[in-house]
Amino acid sequence: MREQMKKGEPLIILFIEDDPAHAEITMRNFKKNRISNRVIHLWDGQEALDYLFRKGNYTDPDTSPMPHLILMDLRLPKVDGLEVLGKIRTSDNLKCIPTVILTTSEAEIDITRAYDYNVNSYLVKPMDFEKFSNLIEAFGFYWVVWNKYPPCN
Amino acid sequence: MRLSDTPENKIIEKLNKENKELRRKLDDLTSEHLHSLKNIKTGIPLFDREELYRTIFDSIDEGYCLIEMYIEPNEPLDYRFIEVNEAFEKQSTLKNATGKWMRELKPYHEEYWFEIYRDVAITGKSINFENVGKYLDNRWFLVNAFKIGSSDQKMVAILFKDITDRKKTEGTLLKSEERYRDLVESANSIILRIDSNGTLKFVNEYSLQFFGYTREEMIGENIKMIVPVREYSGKDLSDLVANVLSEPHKYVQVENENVRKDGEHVWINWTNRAIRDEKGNLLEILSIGNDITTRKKAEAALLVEHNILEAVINNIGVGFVVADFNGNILSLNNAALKIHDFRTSEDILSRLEQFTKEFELEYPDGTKVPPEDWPLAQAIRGEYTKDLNVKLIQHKNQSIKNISYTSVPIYDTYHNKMLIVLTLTDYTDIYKRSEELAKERELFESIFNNIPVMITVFDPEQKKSRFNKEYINVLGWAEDDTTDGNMSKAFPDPEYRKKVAEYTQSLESGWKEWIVTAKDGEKIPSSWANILLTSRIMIGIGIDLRNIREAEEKLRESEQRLQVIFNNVALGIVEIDAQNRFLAVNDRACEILGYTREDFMGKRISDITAIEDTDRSNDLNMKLIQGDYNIFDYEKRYIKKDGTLLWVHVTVSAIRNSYGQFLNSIGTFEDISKRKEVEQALTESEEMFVKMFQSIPVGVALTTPDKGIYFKVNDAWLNMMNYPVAEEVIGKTPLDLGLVADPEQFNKILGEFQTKDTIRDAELTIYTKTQHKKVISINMDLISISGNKFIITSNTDITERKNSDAAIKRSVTILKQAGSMASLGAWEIEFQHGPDDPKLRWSDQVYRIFGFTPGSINVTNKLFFEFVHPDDRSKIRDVLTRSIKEKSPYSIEHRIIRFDGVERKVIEHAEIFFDDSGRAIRVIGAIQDITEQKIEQEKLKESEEKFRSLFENITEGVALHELVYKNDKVIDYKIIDINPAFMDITGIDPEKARGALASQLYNMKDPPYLKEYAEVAMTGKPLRFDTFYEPMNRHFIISAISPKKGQFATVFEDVTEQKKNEFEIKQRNEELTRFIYTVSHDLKSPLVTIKSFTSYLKEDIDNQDKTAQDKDIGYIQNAADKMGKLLDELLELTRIGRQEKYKTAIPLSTVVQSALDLVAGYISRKNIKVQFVGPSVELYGHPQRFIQLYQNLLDNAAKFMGDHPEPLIEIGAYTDKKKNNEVVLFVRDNGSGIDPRYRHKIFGLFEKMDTKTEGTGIGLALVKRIVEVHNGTIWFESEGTGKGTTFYFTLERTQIIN
Repeated sequence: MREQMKKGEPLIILFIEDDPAHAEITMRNFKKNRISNRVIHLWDGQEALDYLFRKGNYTDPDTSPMPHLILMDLRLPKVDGLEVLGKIRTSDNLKCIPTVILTTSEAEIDITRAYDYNVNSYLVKPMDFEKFSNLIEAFGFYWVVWNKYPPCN
Repeated sequence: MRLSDTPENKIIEKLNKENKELRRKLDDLTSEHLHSLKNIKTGIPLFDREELYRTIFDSIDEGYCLIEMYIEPNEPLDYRFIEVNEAFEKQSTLKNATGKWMRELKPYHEEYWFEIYRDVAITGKSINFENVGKYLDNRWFLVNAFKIGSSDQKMVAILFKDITDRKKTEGTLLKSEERYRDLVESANSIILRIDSNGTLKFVNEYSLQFFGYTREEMIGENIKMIVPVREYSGKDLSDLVANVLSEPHKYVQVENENVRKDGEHVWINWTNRAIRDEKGNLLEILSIGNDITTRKKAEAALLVEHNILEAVINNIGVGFVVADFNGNILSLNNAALKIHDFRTSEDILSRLEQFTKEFELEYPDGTKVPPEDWPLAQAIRGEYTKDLNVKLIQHKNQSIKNISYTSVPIYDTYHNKMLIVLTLTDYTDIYKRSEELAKERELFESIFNNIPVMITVFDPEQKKSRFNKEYINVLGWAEDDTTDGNMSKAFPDPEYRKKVAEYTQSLESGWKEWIVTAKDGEKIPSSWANILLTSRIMIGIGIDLRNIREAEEKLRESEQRLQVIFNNVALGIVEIDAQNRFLAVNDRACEILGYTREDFMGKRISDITAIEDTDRSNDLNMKLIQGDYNIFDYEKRYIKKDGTLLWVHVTVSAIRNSYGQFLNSIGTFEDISKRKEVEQALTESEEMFVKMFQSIPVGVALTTPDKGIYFKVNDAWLNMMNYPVAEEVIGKTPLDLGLVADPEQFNKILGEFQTKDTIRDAELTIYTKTQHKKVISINMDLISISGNKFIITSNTDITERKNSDAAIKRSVTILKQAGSMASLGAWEIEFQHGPDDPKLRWSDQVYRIFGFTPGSINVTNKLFFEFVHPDDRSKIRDVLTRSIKEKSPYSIEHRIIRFDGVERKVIEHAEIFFDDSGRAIRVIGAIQDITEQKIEQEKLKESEEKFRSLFENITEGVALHELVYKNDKVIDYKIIDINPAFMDITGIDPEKARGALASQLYNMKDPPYLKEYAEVAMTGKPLRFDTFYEPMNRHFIISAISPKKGQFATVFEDVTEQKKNEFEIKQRNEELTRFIYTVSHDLKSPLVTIKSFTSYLKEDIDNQDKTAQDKDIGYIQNAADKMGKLLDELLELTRIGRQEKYKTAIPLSTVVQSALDLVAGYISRKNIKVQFVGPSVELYGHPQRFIQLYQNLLDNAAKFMGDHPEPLIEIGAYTDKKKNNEVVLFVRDNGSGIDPRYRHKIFGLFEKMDTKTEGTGIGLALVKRIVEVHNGTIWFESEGTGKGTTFYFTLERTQIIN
């Protein structure tokens, strides 16, 4: 479904966040850290599923390309983040896409469940602005610069 | 052993007596004591009291003293006697004690006395105790000490009594009790004590050894552990223990089987003694048991002997009479009855004198036998009669018979007269005397060699002895080289031998015990009888007594009888083992079949049974072995030695031991070939008739002349009338069957027939069974069959005349039927000489039903009634009388007492025939033994009833089903029955359910759980599962079991409520969990926002970017607002249901108006129209909550209004007719609706449907909570996105107002 990444090709990040303020903070930090990749922001779990499974408004692969990385909140309207994660992991086409959770919840049960669904990384939104900024910076280095992506079919 | 005879019991009794005595003494003592105390303490004026008190304490027999304690500081150092009474000195052994200190009198008096009195003096508590005073002459005292005077006085009054004697007795008692215990422990009897519940309280050592248990395993257990439910003989013991406990006096002596730990049954003779308290309540039962298993086994062995004898006696053709020495006849067998022409055993002339009046005996030369020389008379005098050939003349019917008598007086070991056995052989028309003698000789030879009795024959002339096999087996002396009949070898002690010789020479009759020395030197106790023949030949008959000591007397008697019988037997007798092999045959058997005795040995019955009879023979013998019968008789063909077949009548009876186990069987048979030949001829002609009758292609019917009842019809007739089997027709009239289409036409034919006795080619219109109209041509004639008149009608179907070659089916139904009727007996009563003199005839089967050999007695009506159960006699007479009066057939079930005394149930069908004048002339009936059938029916009925009551009363729903197959595949199941509880649970009408297919009843293509149930019904493995049954919207736990292959029962338990509760609890828990952890998320989110944007704001200020400042402040404000709202609503949510005491009625309109005021801005901004629909409603509860409820619903509706051009919210109520007119409230909008995918999240806490709408996700959770607090439910309907939503809810006590 997705061609193997070519060198220099920008990463496509699917960003799912329902809180406009948090979305704004994250996006500003992406910019600040010069993560010049293509970030597609979606507002709820249903939208995310429609996008990934190419339904509704997202049937065109040109305008809705498969992401290389998914960054999403857990508590999402309509379809919960965990459910979205579950669907990604049980889909042969999608299960290889690295998925990172970014949430305010530190509840053990959320962390456990997310890892049960083989999440690749679980990040907690820090209360402190500096830390938030550092987190996104580190995220950028790790996932955009250092990480090698699998050749998904 | 009787309890009263045993030393143990004597001790027990003595102990009981002593115990009682002591108790009484003790009681006396105590009451005396109290009495004196009372007197002392009563409030008599001081002076008088002083006087009285002195008198009392001087006169009582008890010691009294008043002491003053000397205590320093807490130690009782001593006490001083203030005063004592007269008895004091005698009781205490202390002289002149008054004023003295105790230590002064007895310096070493034990410390504890002082301590006890010190306690009384200090605490003021009186005390009673028994104690020994070593320095008071080692005496025991019973002491009562109490305080007198004020607390600082330390004065103690003491009343006491010397109880040394009693203590001694108690010691003795203790010792004797120990002795008793030793005795009980070591006794060779089982000694048990059980309490009134049957619990074992004590078992002695022997019991433990005997039953094989340890003491721990028995004590505390119920006595039932050693009582089997059933004895081997089948006797039910299940109530024994309860009976003994409830009425012990009736069970003082009990003999029953018990069971050991290893399962072995043992016989015990129990002596039970109830021990009761003074009120007569049962305390316990002392049971002493003795093992009598050995005796019982011997008895069982005897019983077997007895059974053999019985079987032989009842089957032989030789007359057999047992009498006592007074000439009283005790019993006769069938043959003896027949010889004397006695019809029933009641006809027996019980005394010899009567016989001499009724009968006469004549010697062959014609001279009369004087009564004193009759065999019985001779036997009474102790003389034998052997083979006395005489003529037996019966005065009554002038019959003369040639009879050979043998009479034997039988004595016991002590030469007491016991019984007389007479055998009578009827030689009248059978054999010549010479042949008889030869046979007897042969028989004797065979008996000589085969009888398990030692026989020696000593010929003094030749000085030679002969021994039989048994003699050789037992004693080992194979041949005799002495000249004294082996005496010197068998009795090596000369003294003893002399005694034996003297006895033998005396020729005393009867049996005497001698110790005989065997060849190997063993001393063998044996019993011997001596017979001296006229030829001076001496015969000794001996029985080995070693194994049959206990059975001695009866056994000898049996042997004697057997001998007598075998001497005279005239039937073939064979003994057969469980493998149907011949064990023994008599000479007659050999003679009839032409085999030698050796030929028989090793052969099986099947080897000499004709092929045609083999199956039947095997089947009958197998059933006999299995215990289905005890005796059977039938006719069969044996293969003779020369290969020809011989018809015989065989009677076989089983010999069983007392436990009912099959040992072997005795068969007797007689040659019936002559009779068979005649029968064969008859059967052939009858068969011919039946075949002809059945095969003629013309419908033929035999009817009775009076009413036209069908007696017999042929296949062609049945075919014509469309009846499948004759049974539907027989016994009915044409009118009963609805055959007559035109009664006028029918009566005309009958009328004509009555005048002419014949009809030719009359036409009659009839209806067949299948309601086809047919025209037939009939011929009628009057015929007579064995004395009975019948109308024979031949019918030709003219309707189908053209179809002349229509196939006429030949059926063998009738013939088959005839075969199965064999178990039926037929009888006939003829009233030739009027109703007062009926003549009765029985078919062979009737004889057998009544327990007789066919033809063995003359049957009369009177005899019949004698064998009918006394309680049923009048019933039969009534039915017969009524039946004759009403001229109708009858059926009756009644009991009979068979000749062998066994009660059986029979059913009789009978029809009465009348002559022209309407007089009853004959009754023809059938009788069938239905005992087994009845028993089975009763058992079935009983268990059915039991099952049914269980079924009806059980609280779980039970349904019984049967699998339904199609092409060997289970496709459905049928409901056999359901119980009331099933109806209660499911609401299914039992009438509708019974017999219905599950698929139909539940209206489903595949009936519920078919696969699972089929598995249960086929494998019998029970299944239990938990299921939600959608069509009924209920949860069930279903247990399925299979009572029978192919059937299954389901037991339902409705757990819907339980499930609902569980579900609710689960939901609540989930909500709570979500609440807790989402609080952390949802409350943290705004904080993250505020913190981040505050930092941005700082940057904005530094950059002096005004636009960015406003934007960031907006984010911060939003977050802060959201947080504030979240906290408020959470608080509100937790408040609902708490601290809300105030409830009131409030109109819905008021509530909604207040709610609208709160959301007015929003509503008007969106141009939403709000309107009321339906009736006015009044709510009851917390007004503030109701406002919140509507506020949130309105808010929700407005939020999700979408882009509708004419947004509308409707608020209203209606009554739900289906739910008892409950008022349902609703809030309806025409907004964006709810995607069915998210239905389950609607009322969840912190669930938001749309990120773009404002809200905390608490609103609807709050609504739900408010509804629930008011005991209501809430739900919603939405046909999908864009189609609007309606929230429905109920609240308690909502009313429509007008």
